[in-house]
Amino acid sequence: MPHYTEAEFETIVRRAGLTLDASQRAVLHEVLPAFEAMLDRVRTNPDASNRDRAAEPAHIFIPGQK
Amino acid sequence: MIPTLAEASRQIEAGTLSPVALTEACLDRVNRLDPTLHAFIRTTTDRAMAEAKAAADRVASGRRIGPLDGIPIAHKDIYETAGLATTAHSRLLEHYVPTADGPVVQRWREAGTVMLGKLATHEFAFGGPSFDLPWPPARNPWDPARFTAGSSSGTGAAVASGMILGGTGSDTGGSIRGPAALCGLAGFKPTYGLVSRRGILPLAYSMDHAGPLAWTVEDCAMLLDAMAGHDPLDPASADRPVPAFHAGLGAGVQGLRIGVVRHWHEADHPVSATTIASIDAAAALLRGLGATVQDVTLPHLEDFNSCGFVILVTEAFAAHEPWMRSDFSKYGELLRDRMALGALVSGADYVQAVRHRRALCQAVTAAMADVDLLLTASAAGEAPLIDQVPKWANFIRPSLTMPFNVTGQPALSICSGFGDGGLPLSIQLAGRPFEDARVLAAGHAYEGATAWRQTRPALAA
Repeated sequence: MPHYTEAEFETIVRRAGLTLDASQRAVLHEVLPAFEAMLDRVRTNPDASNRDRAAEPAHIFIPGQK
Repeated sequence: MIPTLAEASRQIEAGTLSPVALTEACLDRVNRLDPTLHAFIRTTTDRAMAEAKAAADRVASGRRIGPLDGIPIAHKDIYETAGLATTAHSRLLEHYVPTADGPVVQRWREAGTVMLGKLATHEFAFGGPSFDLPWPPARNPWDPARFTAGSSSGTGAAVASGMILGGTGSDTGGSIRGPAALCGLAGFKPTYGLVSRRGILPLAYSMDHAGPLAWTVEDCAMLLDAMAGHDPLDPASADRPVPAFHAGLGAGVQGLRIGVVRHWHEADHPVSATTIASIDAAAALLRGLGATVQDVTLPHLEDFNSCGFVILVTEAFAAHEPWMRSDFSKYGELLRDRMALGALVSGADYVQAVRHRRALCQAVTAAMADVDLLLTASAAGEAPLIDQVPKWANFIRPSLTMPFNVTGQPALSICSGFGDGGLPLSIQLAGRPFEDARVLAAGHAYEGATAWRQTRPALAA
């Protein structure tokens, strides 16, 4: 499971435009491993097999529809 | 004795109950109970009495609009109301006054409902319970030291205590079904696209659902009749015929095939023994009413939880990005910390979550080729103490309600008895997309065969 270093985390927070104090940084940094586990999980199929590269997102776009 | 919405409607129709007397009784409960329960952010007493008198005049002159005419209701404070502050329970919108009613508010107003005010929510329907906002969190009428669940917390407290006979909720990860479960109500999340989301402050665009909470499934069906329908200005609104939900309640469960998702509530997120017993009892009861019942296997609950949570925080952060950058400290701690996670999601992560979503939808669709309804838990058990609610519940155990936000299926939480602590237990029924009427009919059949609707919180007696 990937885990952000403090420096990597700082870069992401800065890119997001968030202004966090030390305690707010600490809170997010603490829960990052659990959140990373969620991100890992969505990278796999429900049955843990490899997802076909052509598997489409759930979002639908129909040209001409309001 | 607090009437159900349906009972009150029938009494108004028969001329044995005046909308004015009914509204006064509800306002009396608001005055007596809300200092403890904090269900309301704002009451609209004068408006309510004027609307009740107008309803009474219509009844007296034979011009009653329909079954909701004269019924006291209130709206979750993310539903925009013309000329009336809509705060999302947040410091950021403390003085926001919309210029127009959203479609649901408008439809209920046109149906003759009597609006008593705006109801507490978790901040922007996501962060709570919070004690650092301009208004306190709502408390559970069964025990004010307990959590209502959220985010439709005020609606749950107000309906359970009889301050209103029905109210609006929104459900992005369980925010209708959670309060229904812990407050002992019926709460219905319709199929995504059945009820317009326009005029409701967004949390996560692809997961937000609007729906009713009330004492019974019958009440919810009556309210849904006045909520559902195509809205061409909501891009997700489904342009398809809408059935008459209340009229269809008598369909029952004869011949229906019900799949119990046992591994969700016994293994993936083990719920209380009393909740499991109530699910098994519900399955037996439904079998006795003519359904066939079998266990079904779906993807692990954590797949739905992870997928839904990643999509939710990402879309929520996108919706709030300007404020998150400029006014981070104006949010309550819970909301800002949860929503900040959305800033850490890459574009590829979000797309993977949405691809995962399609796979999960396909898996559920395949499983439901053999069953008409799914049965599982909607909460882990009885309401916890309000000051012991974990900040990161989704990381501790996967949500029991999130699957149907991911798939958009209709899902209903109903009371299934009372636990060892005397607080409500609940079950969850879900159906195929746009088979909302079938879910409601099954819930109604269950309620009609049980006695749980006879007991109100002692505080409301």
